[in-house]
Amino acid sequence: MARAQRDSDRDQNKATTRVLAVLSAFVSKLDGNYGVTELSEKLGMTKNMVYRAVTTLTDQGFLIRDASGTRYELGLRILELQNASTREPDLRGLCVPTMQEIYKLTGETVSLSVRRGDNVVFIDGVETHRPGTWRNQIGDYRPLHSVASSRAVLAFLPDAEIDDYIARKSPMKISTTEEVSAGDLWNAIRQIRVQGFARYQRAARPRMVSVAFPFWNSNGRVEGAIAVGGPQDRFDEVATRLLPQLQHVVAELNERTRLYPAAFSFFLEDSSRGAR
Amino acid sequence: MRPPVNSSALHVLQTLRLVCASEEPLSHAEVSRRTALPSTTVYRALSTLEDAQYVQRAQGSLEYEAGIVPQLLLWTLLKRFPLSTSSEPVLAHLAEMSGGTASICIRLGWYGLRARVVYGQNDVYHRDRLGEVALLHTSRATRGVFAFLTDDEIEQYRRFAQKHHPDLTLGIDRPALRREVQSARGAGYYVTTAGVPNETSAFAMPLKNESGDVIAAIALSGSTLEMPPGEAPQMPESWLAVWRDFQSALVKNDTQTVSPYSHIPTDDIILKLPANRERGS
Repeated sequence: MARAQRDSDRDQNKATTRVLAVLSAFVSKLDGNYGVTELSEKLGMTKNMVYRAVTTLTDQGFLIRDASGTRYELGLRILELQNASTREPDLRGLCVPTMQEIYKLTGETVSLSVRRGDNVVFIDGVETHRPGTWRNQIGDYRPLHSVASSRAVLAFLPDAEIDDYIARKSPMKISTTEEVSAGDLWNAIRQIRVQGFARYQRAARPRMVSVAFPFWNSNGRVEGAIAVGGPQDRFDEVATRLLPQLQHVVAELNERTRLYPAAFSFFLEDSSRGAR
Repeated sequence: MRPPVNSSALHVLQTLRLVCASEEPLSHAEVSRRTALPSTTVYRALSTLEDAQYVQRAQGSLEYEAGIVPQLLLWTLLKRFPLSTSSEPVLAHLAEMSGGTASICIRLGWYGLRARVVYGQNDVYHRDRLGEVALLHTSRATRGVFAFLTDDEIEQYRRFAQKHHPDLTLGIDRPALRREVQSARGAGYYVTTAGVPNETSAFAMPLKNESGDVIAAIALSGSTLEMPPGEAPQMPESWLAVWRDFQSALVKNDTQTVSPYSHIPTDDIILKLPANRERGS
């Protein structure tokens, strides 16, 4: 292929990638619209690049001009990208790219859990090949007061629900030898609410540490947590160094999970309540 | 001057539409055949779409299906309708009481858009899908809007349908539909057992704004009632009460009834319907 042709192809490809990036910027844009300048600042593109991308997307009906005529919003052609014969995406599918990204960043074991009644259930994970890995079995469950993942969920329930939980579950065992008091649990909850994530360190050997970040669904209810952890001697340094990046990755995940319609959660919460 | 449309992006968006509309995952060769685009163009298009999460490999195969981003864009679009969020507790309540699937279809021009669904415990098929679009007279849910249009509106609707969806217009004057509309106007809600599989029933209850315009319908479908053959099914009073309470709340809070697309004239909203709807099935 001639060099000029290759260069032209590469430029076309970059322009196409920019068109998709502009459209993707509208994911979670619930207040509706963007101006060209705003998009250019958000995406780090020149206004000219954004304008060209927006022209292509409006031509195709994926974006339209809003009521003011100067800004852009999602067009109704988006509805043509749906197909009733395909599987509806589930929460696990939504979280897989984030789990993989966290694994790439840290090299440590990542887990995904969702709340079911008084527990969190581990539904997926990425396991490290390094020695001393923290293993979670899929389907395993932990009480809400016990580990990083479950505390990250518990901390963002309404206070009355937490009080109710503590009253029902006390004494709250963490292991065969360990318990947590209501006072210590509330202190941990306050800290998690300030930090936005939960950190948990096993008291028994081997010393393992994990950090867990909650995520929310479209009802505004905390739905589950994504956690990463490993042996304390190597993980503490990793977690401290990478914390801002981890928080950024999870914030992006939350932009997606907050759209998740959770069509079943009403019944699952209800049935798990009966199974306490 | 308006910049030119990017031709490479048009190929990518064409590929995206095809993959998303397909009932089965598509191979690279199949996309090339159906779009009549060169193999290298399709290869680049699929790679670009996959990198941006617009398409993905189906179950780790070499075939492509819709990715997560089109779904996220749909969820964003639907969430912009205040009714999609505010109706959720009502839908959950109806689904719990009935065991059927409850959904809300919001009027969008002369179409209904299913903007929220809560699946009932008895529903194993999940046929009522989020984001589904139908002309108002063609689906059981949107007939909850259609039946309560004024006669003038139905005439405007007929003209629109004849122009943009001619294959579907015959159904508007079907005697069975006319009877259902008359019966719905009498009862205050639409009900049918005709054409509903597995001896189930379907109800659609209109929702109106402060001015009395029908803006949406709450639909219930599935094995919702044990009905003796030949008798007209009726909604239990407890279900009707949930709908009426929601309707009363809506009239008091008109911010809930506004469509984010109200700036587009009704006749200018022209949507492409899925192939089975265009055939009138």
